[in-house]
Amino acid sequence: MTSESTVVNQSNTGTVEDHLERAAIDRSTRLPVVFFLTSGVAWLAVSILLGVIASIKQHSPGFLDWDWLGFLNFGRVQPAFINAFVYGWCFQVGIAVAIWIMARLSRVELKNPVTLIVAGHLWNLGVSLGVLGILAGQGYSLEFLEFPKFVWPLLFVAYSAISIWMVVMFQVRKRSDAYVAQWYIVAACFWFPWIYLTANMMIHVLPVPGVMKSAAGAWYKSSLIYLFFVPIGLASSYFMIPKIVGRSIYSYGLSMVAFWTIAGVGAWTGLQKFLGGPLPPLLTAISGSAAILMLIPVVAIGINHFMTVRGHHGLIQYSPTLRFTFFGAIGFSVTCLVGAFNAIFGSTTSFTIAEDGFNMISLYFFFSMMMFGAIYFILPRIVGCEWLSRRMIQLHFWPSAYGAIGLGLWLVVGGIWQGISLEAWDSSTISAAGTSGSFLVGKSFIWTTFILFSNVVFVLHFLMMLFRLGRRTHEPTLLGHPQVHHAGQQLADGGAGA
Amino acid sequence: MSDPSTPTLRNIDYSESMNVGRVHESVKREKDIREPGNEPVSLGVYLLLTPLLLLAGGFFGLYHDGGQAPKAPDFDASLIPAGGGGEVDPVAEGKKLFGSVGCAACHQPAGQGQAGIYPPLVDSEWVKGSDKRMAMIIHGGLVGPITVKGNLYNNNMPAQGPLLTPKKMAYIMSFIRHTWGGGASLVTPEQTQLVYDEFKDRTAPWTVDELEKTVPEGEMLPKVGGYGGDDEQAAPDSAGAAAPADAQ
Repeated sequence: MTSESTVVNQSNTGTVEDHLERAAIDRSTRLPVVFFLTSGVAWLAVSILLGVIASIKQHSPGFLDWDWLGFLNFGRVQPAFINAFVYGWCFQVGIAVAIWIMARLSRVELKNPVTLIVAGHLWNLGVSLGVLGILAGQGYSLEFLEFPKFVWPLLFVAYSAISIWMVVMFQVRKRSDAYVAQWYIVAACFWFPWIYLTANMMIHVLPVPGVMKSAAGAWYKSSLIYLFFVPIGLASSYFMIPKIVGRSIYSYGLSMVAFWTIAGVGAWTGLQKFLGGPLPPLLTAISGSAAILMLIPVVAIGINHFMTVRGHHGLIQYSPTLRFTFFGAIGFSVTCLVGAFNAIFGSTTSFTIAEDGFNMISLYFFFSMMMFGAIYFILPRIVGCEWLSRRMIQLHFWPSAYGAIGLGLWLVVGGIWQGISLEAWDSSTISAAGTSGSFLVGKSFIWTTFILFSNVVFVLHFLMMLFRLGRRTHEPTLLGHPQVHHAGQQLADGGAGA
Repeated sequence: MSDPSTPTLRNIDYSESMNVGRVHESVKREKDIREPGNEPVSLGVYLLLTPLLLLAGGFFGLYHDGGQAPKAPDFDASLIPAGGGGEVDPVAEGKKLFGSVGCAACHQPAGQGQAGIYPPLVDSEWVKGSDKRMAMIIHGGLVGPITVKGNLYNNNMPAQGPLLTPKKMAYIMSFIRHTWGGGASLVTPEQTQLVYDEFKDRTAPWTVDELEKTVPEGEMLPKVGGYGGDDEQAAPDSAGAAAPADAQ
């Protein structure tokens, strides 16, 4: 497949007409993509700050404890953080990346994207009201659904308008067949409104009795991860990895196996949280099995990505996009592994900090890292200058990587520890809760040292790009100097790929 | 910000000083995404996936608990103690209480418990045996290991005494013993009152060891009180027993 020709550009990157078409598509998507990226990054900044406060408050409630700051108590700031992070950052960056990838793959220019901008404002209004509502004490009690009651119709309408736009782009695509990344984006367009509407119907509109509300909430949270964040994240990796490596995806068959397993199994997960609780055991058993079956896409996608990059692993060293994306792909495996682990040992790990660990692994280790990779690829094309500093990218990557791995492992191990002490019948619940204390201090350490630091660097770098303070050059910003003579064409591609 | 939809501005980029050559630099060095490869999914992958299917199936088999709850036997009116025409049907009242005070949350509506977590009541030797021990467990709670029908459970049952009254406890026990205890004797409010009185100062939950030390195997509560105005704790075969249907 890879041409042996040394004239790389001619054989690999298409004709002048292709370049013009790509540039035109990029230009047409600029307004919505920049809008969603910017508001996403703004919410990232807000939520990381809230996350740091929440993390410290969990073990030291005296932190920032003045009367007029009463709304920053842990019970409010933790849901404010997680909802700002999920709906402010993750969703908006996911939408931006999905719009851009969909436009590129469908080879259509995004004409008059005013609907997207209006929907985007509506979405941001909903998230702002929701976060303020939580801080004002009007939050709801189910995880990832803590926004006050009136917020969900806003988000539902906004997302539906956005997804219609993406489905329209897909419908008018120039090629009749669809690329793997497009499957995932179109699927996410339909899956999220479905789960969001169902969950809110069961919780707010036609409320189901008591325990079943918690069940609906747990189902929604798990489905959100497996049916929204997983598809959007994988769409990005299925686009970015072949794009940068310059090879085709290893196996169409494996992609099919992964996609249809996620489609078939994703929505069955969630209730394993209540294993041994007051739910019909049949439901919890099915959910646990489904969470274990999510390891099938891990195998299929792992093989597919690995074989696509095979022989070009050196590129991970140079291309920021590929490095973040590859790390995010590892995060996908870890997400599903920890999900299955939490199902199998659910009687120990549920209702412990291991669940927090799963949140951070799925939202940060997997999804955010994938999205960072995509931003490093997309933004230079949209704003027309290159990333300012290789060092800043590295200062974003390494603390993020250490933070993601550290936070995930630390919280899962802490959760197991906490769960074991909760299970001991001869010790009190208070002492069991106390065993997680040292883990919470460690969590704060990781938050402030790694996650906060790396994202401050990223937000600054992003703002510089936005104000077009990037490098005015035709060279991409790579993490190192590829020695072209030494490794031949492969590294020359690497230079071209970022 | 420029509006990309306006035709006159269409080709002007983000700022006017933009070098057109450089705008296209990034897309020029970009590579095509090719058709996905047609590698077949190898047998090795399927072999790799097999243990996952086994694991998922094993998990389901371990926890699904038969899929549906076992059905409790229909109420047999002839088992109601003699001297019918009383105020309440303790078994029917107990059945309602069993659901409403929370017993069913753990022991499940059909009393089968949850494998490995909450012991079953159906056919349990603790239900069929001493009514005094059973009353003490409900009254004071139980912690630590307990063997029920050959399986070991290790969990924590909170004390129900403060939440119930002797009368409610008597109805619940009657329902459980009658329905799942193979027709073991019913329990009267007067009997449970004895347990309430005897252990009114106790705050710690029971353990199995303590129970066995305190109450010898098979020791029953003294026969006091009765249903339907009859002082006698009648045998189920009492002739002419009329079911007190008015309780429904």
